Amino acid sequence: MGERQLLSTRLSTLVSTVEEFDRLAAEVLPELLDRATGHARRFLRETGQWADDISHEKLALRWGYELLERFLVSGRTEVPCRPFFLLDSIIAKYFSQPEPLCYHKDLLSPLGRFLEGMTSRAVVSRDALMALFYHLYGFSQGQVVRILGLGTVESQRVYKNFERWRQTGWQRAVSESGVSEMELRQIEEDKHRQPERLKAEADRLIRLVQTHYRRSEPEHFPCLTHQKWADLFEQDYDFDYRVWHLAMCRDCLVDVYELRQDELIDIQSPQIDLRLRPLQKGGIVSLFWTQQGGGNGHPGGQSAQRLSRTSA
Amino acid sequence: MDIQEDSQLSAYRERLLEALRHPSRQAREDPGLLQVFVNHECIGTLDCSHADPTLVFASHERPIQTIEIRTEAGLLVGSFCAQDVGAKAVRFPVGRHAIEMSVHTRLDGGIIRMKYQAAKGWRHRLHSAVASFMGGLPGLDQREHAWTRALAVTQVVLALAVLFLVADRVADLAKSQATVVQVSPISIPSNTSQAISSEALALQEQKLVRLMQAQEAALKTLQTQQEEIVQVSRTVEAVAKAQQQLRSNLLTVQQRGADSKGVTPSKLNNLLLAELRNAAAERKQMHQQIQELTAGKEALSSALVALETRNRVLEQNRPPQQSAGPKLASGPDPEKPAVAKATEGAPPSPTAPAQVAEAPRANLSQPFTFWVSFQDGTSEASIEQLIQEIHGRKGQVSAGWYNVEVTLPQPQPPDGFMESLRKAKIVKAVTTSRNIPPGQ
Repeated sequence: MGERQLLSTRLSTLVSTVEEFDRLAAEVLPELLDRATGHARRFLRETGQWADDISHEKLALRWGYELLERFLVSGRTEVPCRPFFLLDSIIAKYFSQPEPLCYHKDLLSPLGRFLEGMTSRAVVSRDALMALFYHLYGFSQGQVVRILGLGTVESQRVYKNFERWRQTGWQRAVSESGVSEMELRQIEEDKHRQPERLKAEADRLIRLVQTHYRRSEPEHFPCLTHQKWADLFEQDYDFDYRVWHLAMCRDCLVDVYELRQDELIDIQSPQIDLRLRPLQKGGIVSLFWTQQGGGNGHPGGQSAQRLSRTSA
Repeated sequence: MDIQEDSQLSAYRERLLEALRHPSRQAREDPGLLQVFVNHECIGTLDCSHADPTLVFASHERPIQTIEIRTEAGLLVGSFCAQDVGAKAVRFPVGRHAIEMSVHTRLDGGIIRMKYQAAKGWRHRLHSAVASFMGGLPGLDQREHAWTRALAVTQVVLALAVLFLVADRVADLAKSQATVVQVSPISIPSNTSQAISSEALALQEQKLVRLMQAQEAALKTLQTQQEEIVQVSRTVEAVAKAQQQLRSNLLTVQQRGADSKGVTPSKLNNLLLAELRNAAAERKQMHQQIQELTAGKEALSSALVALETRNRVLEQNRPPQQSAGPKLASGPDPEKPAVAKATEGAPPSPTAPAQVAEAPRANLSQPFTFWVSFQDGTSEASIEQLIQEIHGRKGQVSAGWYNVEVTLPQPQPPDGFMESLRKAKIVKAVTTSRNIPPGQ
């Protein structure tokens, strides 16, 4: 108790320099995480979204982590400051927004946490945004480029996005969303045993998640009419809009696919085809991993075929 | 929660803490494309592969509350919580690079200006270091820096070439030794092998000759480079001397300027005041001289008037001589023969009597000066009154005699005037002679 009081006093004192801020934050990082998590927990309790289970604890931890990350970066520009007060103000400001968290009971399942974690990451990471086309519909980078009708420069970017996602992005997103390797394997097993049921469940959860996170780009990214989509592709502009909106809106993606069907004959219609692991570099390697049944492989012959055909 | 869930939760917490401890935020060399989020909405990107990328964003409706900069992978490299109203400048380090951002927030919006500043590469840093070192030396301009850099690069290339040649030679020697060693046991029984070995030796000789030529060429190049370096160093020294000379001249000028500047406020004022005093004194002196000259001129004019008056008086006092004039005029006058002839032979012109009459009129119109003495006991006021009555101007007073000047009207002769003046009760005597006043 005495230690906590001492720590609290220390974090409430004025920090004058960036170096002092970094040093103090590194020393008391667990305490800061606990404080941020406590704020998230209290918010969930106060809004009637709390239950005493590990899923809710993980949710609170994850939001505490994200808010603490912002504090650690923005606090360096706020010195001189009192760290505790600054952390509290950042958290308060965040939770004062309308619907700050994507909360739904069904999203607390491993599949829900996975989908929510991926989509949440896609809001801040273009790598994750591009990877959504693969994780949700099974499209490779080449197919993404064709569906979105991107130019040469944008296409190169897509390939880079996929590469980075494969190397580090996916692991980080999964780790931060709190989905364990055991849970991933459980989902993969469910997909193998009851693919239709998992597909329907994923479809339902994806709509929930996409509806929430699409609001993070409010009036700038509304759903367009069929004609407007046609104009946009015909006149060849607004690549960012296409990337963002079609990754976050399944209905519009289907609409665009139908619009450009003549050019996308060899690509299947966008249907939920959940992929938990990132797209591997070569189809053969992926197939090998699939047959071995380990690592980042993809169970199921259909997936392996699509992978080997499109990833070159 | 059971123990297993607790351990899962603890493991998750540790993973998150580890991610916070090692965000690999500082390790990234090339941030690539940076995404800018305002109030958690992506408003644009900053392409760091371009030269000096900048981003300007203006919000006209909603106030700017938070700004985040993330890589394409989602890594948070910069975060800023804006105040309600005000302006602030922030700098985010991104690995070795940096982002400079200025935020101006209002209640109804705001403006963000963002600029990515890439760190300078090792070449640039090396050049900067060399430039800063050379910049310390006097008299080096940009062209000499370029020369120095070119020389340094040339020297490095030459050194590498020499090393390569030496290594090649050593390798060839080693090979030739090995060949000789390998060939020597076989060369004894076989003539063909002898021929081969001689060919090999010839080849080695040729290689050695080529190597020597290459070395000689390299040495010549080195000598040339050294000479050029010496020449450049001489030039640099000359430029340095010239600059030193320039500096010393500049210092001298500055010192002079400083000296003059040091004197000006006090001494210059004193000098100016002294000059002004001298000028004032000279002006006074000049004024006095002018006054004296004026007085002298007046005295001269009065003297001249007196002389003319005297002459007139003298002329008037010569009536007998004037009566004898016609007599003399009737006789032959050698100075005026033509006039005499004209008067005698020709009828008189109508202008002739007028010309004759003009002369006395001109004489009478001039001022008339005389001396007057007054009765004893006459007051100065009476004297002044009399002088005013005759419109006279009082001059010198000597031994009771007053010098008075009057301008007589044309018809009045001086004698009549003097006679009338003598009749005044206070007047004792009147005379025209100044030099010998009557009674003296």
